[in-house]
Amino acid sequence: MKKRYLALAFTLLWAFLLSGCDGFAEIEELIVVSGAAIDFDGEEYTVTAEIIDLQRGSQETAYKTFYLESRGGSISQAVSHMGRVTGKELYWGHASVFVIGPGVAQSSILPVLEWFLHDSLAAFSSMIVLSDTERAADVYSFVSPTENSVSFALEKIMTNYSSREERGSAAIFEIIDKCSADGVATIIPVISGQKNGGETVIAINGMAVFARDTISGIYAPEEAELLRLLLESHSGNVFSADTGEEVVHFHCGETKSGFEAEFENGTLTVDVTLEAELKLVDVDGDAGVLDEEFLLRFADSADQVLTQRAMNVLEKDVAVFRSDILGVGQYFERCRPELWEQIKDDWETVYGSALISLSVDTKVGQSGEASKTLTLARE
Amino acid sequence: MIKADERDVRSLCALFMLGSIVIIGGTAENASRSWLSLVLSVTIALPLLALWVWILGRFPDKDLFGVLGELFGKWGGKLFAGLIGVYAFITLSWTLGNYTSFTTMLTSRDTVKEVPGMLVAAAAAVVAGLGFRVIRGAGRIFLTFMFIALGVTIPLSILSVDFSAFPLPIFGHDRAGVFEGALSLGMMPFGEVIILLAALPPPGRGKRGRGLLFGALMAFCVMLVVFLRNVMMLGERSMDCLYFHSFYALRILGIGSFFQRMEILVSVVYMCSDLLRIALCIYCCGRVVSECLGLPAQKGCYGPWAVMAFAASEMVLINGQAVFVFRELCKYIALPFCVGIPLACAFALFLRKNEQSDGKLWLKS
Amino acid sequence: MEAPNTVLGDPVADLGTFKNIFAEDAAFRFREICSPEGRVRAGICFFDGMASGSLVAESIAEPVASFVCDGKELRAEQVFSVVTNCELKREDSVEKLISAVMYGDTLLFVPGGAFAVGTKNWLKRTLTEPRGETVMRGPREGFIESALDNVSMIRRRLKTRELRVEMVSLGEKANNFIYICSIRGVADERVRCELKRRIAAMTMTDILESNYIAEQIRDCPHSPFKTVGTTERPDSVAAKLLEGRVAVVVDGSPCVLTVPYLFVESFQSGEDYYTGNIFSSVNRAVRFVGTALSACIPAFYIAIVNYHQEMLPTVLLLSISKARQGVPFPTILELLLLLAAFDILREASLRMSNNIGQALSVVGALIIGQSAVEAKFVSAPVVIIVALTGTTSMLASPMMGALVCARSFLLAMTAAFGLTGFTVGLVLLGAYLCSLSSFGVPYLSFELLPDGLIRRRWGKLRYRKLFGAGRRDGK
Repeated sequence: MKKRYLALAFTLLWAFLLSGCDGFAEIEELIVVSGAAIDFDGEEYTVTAEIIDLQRGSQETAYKTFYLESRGGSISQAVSHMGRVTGKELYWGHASVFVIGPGVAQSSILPVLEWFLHDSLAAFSSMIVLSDTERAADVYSFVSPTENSVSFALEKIMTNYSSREERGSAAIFEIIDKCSADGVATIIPVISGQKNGGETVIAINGMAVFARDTISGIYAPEEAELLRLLLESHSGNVFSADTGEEVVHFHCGETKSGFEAEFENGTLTVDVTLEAELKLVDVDGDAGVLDEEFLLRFADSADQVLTQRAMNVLEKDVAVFRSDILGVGQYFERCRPELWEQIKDDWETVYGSALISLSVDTKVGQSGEASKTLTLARE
Repeated sequence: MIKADERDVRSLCALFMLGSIVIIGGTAENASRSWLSLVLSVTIALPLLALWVWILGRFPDKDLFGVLGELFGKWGGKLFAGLIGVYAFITLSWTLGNYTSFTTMLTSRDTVKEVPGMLVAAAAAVVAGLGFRVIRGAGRIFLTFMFIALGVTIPLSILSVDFSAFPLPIFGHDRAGVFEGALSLGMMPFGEVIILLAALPPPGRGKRGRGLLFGALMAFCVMLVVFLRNVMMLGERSMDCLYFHSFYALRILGIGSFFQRMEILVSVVYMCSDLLRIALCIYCCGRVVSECLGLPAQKGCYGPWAVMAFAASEMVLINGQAVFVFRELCKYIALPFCVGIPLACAFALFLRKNEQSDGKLWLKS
Repeated sequence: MEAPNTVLGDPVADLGTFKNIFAEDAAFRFREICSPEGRVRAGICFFDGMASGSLVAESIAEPVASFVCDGKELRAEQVFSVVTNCELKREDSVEKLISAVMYGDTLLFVPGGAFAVGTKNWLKRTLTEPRGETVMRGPREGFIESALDNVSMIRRRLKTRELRVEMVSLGEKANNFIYICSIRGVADERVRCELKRRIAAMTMTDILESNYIAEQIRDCPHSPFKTVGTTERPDSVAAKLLEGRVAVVVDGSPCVLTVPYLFVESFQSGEDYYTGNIFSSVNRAVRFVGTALSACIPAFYIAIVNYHQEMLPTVLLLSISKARQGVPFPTILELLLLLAAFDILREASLRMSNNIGQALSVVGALIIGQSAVEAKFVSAPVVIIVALTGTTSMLASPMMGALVCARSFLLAMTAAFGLTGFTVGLVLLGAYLCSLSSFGVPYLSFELLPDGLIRRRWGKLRYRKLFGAGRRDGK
């Protein structure tokens, strides 16, 4: 009996010592990557990883960052070459934001998305953004007032900008799905630097539209806000409308958008509807916000402003980008697959000559906490 | 003598069916339409299960081997038992291979396959060796934890699901794939109930058939919700190119910025359930050998069988991709066992009934 | 000269026999009661400190002396009308008389026979609340070392003639008495018979404490999980008897054994039934979850920190990573060292006197909590993990020993194999618990208890016979 237990104990000991998982790593030995910038010059990929350095942290700042750059024929190759500097693999499990440069956007973002699918350590809910600098790595020269790490700062900005499930969010799983789908554009936020005091801080600067895997164009920040409204994403932007008697500043709360599309006689017609709830922010002028007439004026002028600007966005997409931001092609694919089979190969042409109409329906939701604007007692 | 009550049958049936599916998360053919394949698989699964309920209902105090012996005689019963054992071994190998590829692909990427594979095989052999009492007790515990995990993840998923991403058109571009997927799901997991029935001891309290149907219904509901959740979270295209859909879908979930990447935590629960399924397969093989050779339970052989099954899976399923290719073949391999054997039993029972009724008439006349 | 097996019927000779037997025992007292002529008419003997001197004098010596003072001979048949003591038993066997006198009875030798008269009066501890089972609301009586008093406490709560108290004498040297209590018609007869059989089969019979019996009668002798219950509360024993269990009261031990014992009982407290059901259910859930955490937390910490760091939020990852900068030990070793240190402190605090105990707590807190962390011997997160583990391990005190084993097993599996090892360890632990039984009843029988983890309110709860149908009769 004793021999049996002894034999069992030895077997277990050998089993523990000789086997075990090779994925063991002490947490302080990890080389934590907070984010990366990916550039492509037509031949090689350049990956610049932002790495968290805890040893150089202090009482005031928990950590500092340093950057590691490497090149390779593919992203995986470039990443693996980083091991020559560090001596071991980097830890990508907490990499939050990946910045792609114009070279990647113009050639194809598929290699970037494929890298995520094959490397299971990087979080599937990480984000991708496009930089409008010459190189994506230039983003790391910007600063953030809130974080030491540009990637962490970007993550916070993106999280506040839109929720992960919204279209136009930067979440990778969303982008993978849209990019590989037919008949819908992929929309990726654009970041750049903005002067703020003496520093250049990182900020969102519009939205990039991708038809399939290459970039079609970039919407400026003002246009991007309307795009977000059309995509039913929350927009915190404040719009201005001149009613003729006062200038009203407002933003849109809940929006609903939809469209009806028809393809007849070789022509695509798309009727877009946008319903928006208006929230009054500020009024330049003397207006009683409970005044029925004022509210009507406000709603009408807001209507006009939103219609005009949204129409600009849609027309730009149809005429210039031809990327189908609303997903009209996807609608045909899902609901009228026989028709889609006929037109999908020429979809770009068909969409490019589409007749778009927009009807906007607004209603005043909130009018602030005051019933009147402030006026002086004596002029 | 230990007996299997209705609630044991119910919980083990649900766990056995869910054991692999929650890890794989869909069909290999037309993954984004897995939910539709599941609905269509009812046309295969329901008659199959009803057939088993009818057959077993005729022998309310016998286990499956007793039924086979009654229907086919001593040697015929052993032959069919042997066939079930062969199928149990194939399922055991395949499930071990799937489990190992899941662990090495996702949770323990840098580890050689043999380490988790042998560890799981050994643990499953120990659980099987402890007897049906332990399997049933462990089944109840793991089913509870599985439902707790699902109870947390499914509501969280609802917050992240894009309902407009419901895949349309219904059949997608691969109509044949949907039907093949239905056959696949009909065979695995519903058809594999033959292995569970072989592992169960004679029935105790309650109705075995009702437990079987209720367990299958539970598994069906869970799978339907999980498949729909996966496709509406990941999107059609992602579903088609990923292996382990549930794992990736859970990866997206989070509660705020604090509680994220819960797929590791939930996979613990799912792996426990899969381990129990492996243990049931080993237990079934053991029972088959005992019944065929007329020997008492050879618990000392459970470990070597498990290792043998793992070795077989290593030879055939050389990598993760091979697991999924094999999965597509599984439905054809399963047909003679999952459909052929119950049909043969039904036919034998039908003949037996006719003979008996003829006998009565003859006696009367 | 060897003592005879039976009394001789002559008070002088019989008293002489016992004087010879206890010649070297300074506490042995004897007295001859003589008639006026000087003839010895009766003899009494007892142990000083075990028997009550006043009771001996009042109920035995005085009436006997009054009877013989007239010159009459007191025959054995007349003793029952002379001796006024209520506990009077005629006994001819010398061995039984020896047992009786050593248990506090007084022996009376008269012509024709010998009697054992009940005069027990040894020093006993006053009833106090058991230290390990305190309650905020409910009875505060606890068992003491006297088995008869313990049985009386049970009997006060179960005033039914169905209460059965069977006495068994164990041991040649200790010659201790144990009392097997059960309620006829409620307790499973198979459990009772099996218990008696196992007690009769014990090899070590000189019992000084109830654990001697518990370890010898349990189903799995090497299992760290308790399958024989112990309690120091009479109300708990009464409740368990009403549920069909069998209790063993051991003389000399305040801990009463109850069988069968199930896993869920480790998370139950008598107080659960004296406070509201919702509060009780919350408390039980806290105990259960805390105990599970105590077993799993260290292993899960290793799995996350060493294998699956992606599960940690980024801020926490950086925080733990920074805390571990400069620590020379691997995380697993750190954890083992601190767990060992915690166990050392816990054990030392039990052994220390109260005066030093406080100083020890301060020293322990300062050394481990502050200095070791500042000196970078250990990291702060591990200190927190160990503190949480140690605190939660005390939520279910019957499980403390088992928790150490379960925790170590899971830790070893996780350290070697990561999350796969943790999962496999959990499965094996669950399977092991399922394989245990207590006197034929499955250890993890949640359905056998009307209130497992949730305590239903008293309108829906009643005592019922639990262990009839749940037994396992074979594999």
